Amino acid sequence: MKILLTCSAGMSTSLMVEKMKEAAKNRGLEASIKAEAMDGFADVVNDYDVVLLGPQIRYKEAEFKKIAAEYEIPVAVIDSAAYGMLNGDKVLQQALEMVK
Amino acid sequence: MAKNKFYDFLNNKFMPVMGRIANQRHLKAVRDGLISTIPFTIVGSAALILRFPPVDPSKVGPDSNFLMKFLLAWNTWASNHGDAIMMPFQMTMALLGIFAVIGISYSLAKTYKLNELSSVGMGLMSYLLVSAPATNGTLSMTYLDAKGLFTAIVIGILSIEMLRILEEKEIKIKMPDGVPPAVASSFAILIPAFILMAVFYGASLIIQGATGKLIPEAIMAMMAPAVKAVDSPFGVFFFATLCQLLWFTGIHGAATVGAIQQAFLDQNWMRNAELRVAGEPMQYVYTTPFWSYFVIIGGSGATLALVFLYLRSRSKQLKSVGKLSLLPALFNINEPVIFGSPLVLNPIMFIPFVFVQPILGVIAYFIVKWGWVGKAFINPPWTTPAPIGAVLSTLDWKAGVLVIVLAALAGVMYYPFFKAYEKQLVEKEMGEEQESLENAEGSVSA
Repeated sequence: MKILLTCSAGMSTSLMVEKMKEAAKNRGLEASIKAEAMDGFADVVNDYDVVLLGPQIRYKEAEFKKIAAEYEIPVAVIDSAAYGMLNGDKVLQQALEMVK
Repeated sequence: MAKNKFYDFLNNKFMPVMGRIANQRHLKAVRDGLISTIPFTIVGSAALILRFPPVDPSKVGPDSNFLMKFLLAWNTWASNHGDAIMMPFQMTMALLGIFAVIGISYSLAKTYKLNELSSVGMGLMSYLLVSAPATNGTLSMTYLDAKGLFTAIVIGILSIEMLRILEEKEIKIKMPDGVPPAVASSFAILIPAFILMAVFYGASLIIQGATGKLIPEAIMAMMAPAVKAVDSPFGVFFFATLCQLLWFTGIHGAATVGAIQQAFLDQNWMRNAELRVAGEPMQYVYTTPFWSYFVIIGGSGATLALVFLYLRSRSKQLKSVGKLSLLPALFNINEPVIFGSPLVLNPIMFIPFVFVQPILGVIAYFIVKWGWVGKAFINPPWTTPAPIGAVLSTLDWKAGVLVIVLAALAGVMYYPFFKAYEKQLVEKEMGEEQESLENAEGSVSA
């Protein structure tokens, strides 16, 4: 399972990625999770199974959904409370439910 | 409720409009194009740091300590080898326009799904035609540096738009079927190449004939009032407030505002660098490093001090937000503070979250303007801790002191609001505890 997180510069999502990796390890899940800056989104999206946006770039949701739809990759915005508290497990759960 | 109406306005009117601006194709291409120049400007910045050691030989006495002796020796060495040290600067920042037109043409061509490589070539050709008249085998670099940045933006956008229109109208040499696609595309670009050359070179000749000016000179003159308006206390206050109103609705204010102001701030610090290298007084206060280190101290909203307040908070929630945000905040990343507190749509924190940052910005503006702290002419990565970034970008230790004082001032301004919010949270947390205790007792007695 490959999860892409994206935000303005890929900085704050990289914090989230670390927490999600921990959560995945605790659950015994095989997951590759990465953070990227939003500028490169169209180039990398095809390498992933699911995409999550930082809540601060939710104005990109419609545009990114359209791009990702070409590859049938689901896109959603991360719950802002879970994002703020860096709740890796909750966001991982959100990603898992999207690919079901 | 007036307050609710105001939030509704922010959320339903203001936010979508600003989101559309940030997503606007050309502004986005400019923003992404400028981002692509950052590695080169950092190379140029490194050369600047090497060239200008933070020491003034005229102010150092003969009985100086080891550090001063080292700085003096460095200064002598740097002065003696100035040209060699500055070559990486000359080939990066002094050619900023070239890197910018490449980045902007590429980004815009991509959104139109044009061939990126040939589009970049066309953009670069058009830019060089209008900006760098060659004489006797030498290109003039005068308008290839930051002075040519606005020209790079205008020409980059215009040339890609022209390519798009020509492509849509299918104005190109068509090859019969059976000709290899690579061969066919090498002919396809010929007509657009000649049209672009004729339009831009023609315009350049006409404007030179009529005004005696090159196009970049004319564009600079046109942009001068806007540059002046941005580089002012009003400009700082306006953008710093706009940024925070956006963050208050939960969207990335700095990235959104950057779509408008970034070209100005980049031009300003690089013009400062060029003036510094030429030995002339620097002119611009409001620059990219000024924004990164003097305005956004610890992340948008100048929340560094707030994180320190959280660390000692009686509220469990704020304390845990403080703990997990401290390290990121030192590197100017504060999404955990913004979304964890949360500061987004938080009526108690609205005033400080939106207005502390512009107030700091205006104070810093005057302190730099009056010459108490040096102007920024070097751009370290924006994730450099604010006091260090401030010193590196100005090569003035007083800049670091200023940032620490501003951060403390932010703490003072945040404090009463923080206390009010903390009180509310502590009451809520105690209520929840009480409830869970009662529930536990209930289950025991049952």
